[in-house]
Amino acid sequence: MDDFSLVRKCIEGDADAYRHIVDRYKDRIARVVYSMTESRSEVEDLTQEVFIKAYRSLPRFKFDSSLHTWLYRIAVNHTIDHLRKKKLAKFFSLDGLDEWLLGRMRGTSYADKKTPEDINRSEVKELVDWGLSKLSQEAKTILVLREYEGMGYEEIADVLEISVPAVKSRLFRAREELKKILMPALRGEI
Amino acid sequence: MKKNNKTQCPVKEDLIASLIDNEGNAEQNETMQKHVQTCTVCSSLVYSFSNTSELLKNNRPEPVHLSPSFTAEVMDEVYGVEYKGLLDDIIILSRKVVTAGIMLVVILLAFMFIPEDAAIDVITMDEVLPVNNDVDGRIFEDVIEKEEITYDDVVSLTFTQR
Ligand SMILES: [Zn+2]
Repeated sequence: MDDFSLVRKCIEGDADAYRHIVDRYKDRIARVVYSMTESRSEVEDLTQEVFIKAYRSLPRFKFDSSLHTWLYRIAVNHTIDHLRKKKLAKFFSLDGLDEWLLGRMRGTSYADKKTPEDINRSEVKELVDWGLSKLSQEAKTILVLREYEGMGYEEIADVLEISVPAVKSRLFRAREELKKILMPALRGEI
Repeated sequence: MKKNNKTQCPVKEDLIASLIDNEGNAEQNETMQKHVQTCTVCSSLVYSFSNTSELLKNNRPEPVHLSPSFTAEVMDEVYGVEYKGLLDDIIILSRKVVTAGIMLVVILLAFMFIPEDAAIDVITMDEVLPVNNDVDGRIFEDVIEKEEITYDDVVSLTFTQR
């Protein structure tokens, strides 16, 4: 059954239709939530919250965008909201300070690695994850949607509720930001 | 082809994005491709952006393994909502019933334990009768017409009698 028919059945009160929607999209939604949070321990709860939120918003679903981008939109907004609250909580807690100090003491160093080829696969992963974690939320979100989820400009525009030209310039800025973070590390300046 | 060595290029950033992501107008992308070959600013941007883009694509996270009960838990949560609503109503209703019951019991107890002299001002005929025996029937006649006789009546009666 196609997505729109499932949504209609859900709104009519068919519980089985919603079960189908959850089963169809849970893995994709979980992956985007994970990409944004990088937290295995939080992904299950957050993804569940996304589907609960989606269910409650279903009566307001407009059939002008796909269910898939609509769910992504809820997931992205919910995750950003969660990260913002977490950041705020961390800011006011001593744990945040400890973590910051530990980070300063350890120092993520790639000084002995000269080119990307010298760094093995797991180290590349570590490096890219580190780079992503240093990005602004806006930059990270758009790169996740583009590079991890492989979304087109129109789709990203729909998820983030911005125009296609805005997607282009936001992507440009995000890549520039990531480049500024990664390049010194790859050159061994960090 | 000779490259110019400027640090700035008037080419719009959205054209570079379209070229890297292979989105948008094919003709535009082809023109941009030609420009990149002659412009160091754009070629270095395209090169580094393509590299980081490639890095990210290869870094795509492994699928997340949700617990087998994931869907069931979501269903419980969303379809439990209506049931929970009904349950809440029942709880609120039973609370009201219990409160009303307690109030009723309190009122009944209050009536049972009200001290008898609270009705001090009212005396029944039976209580007056012994007095009646000692008094002159004529004087008492007009008082006896009353259904309720107060202490004042009795006192005044007694004084009149003495
Ligand atoms: Zn140029």
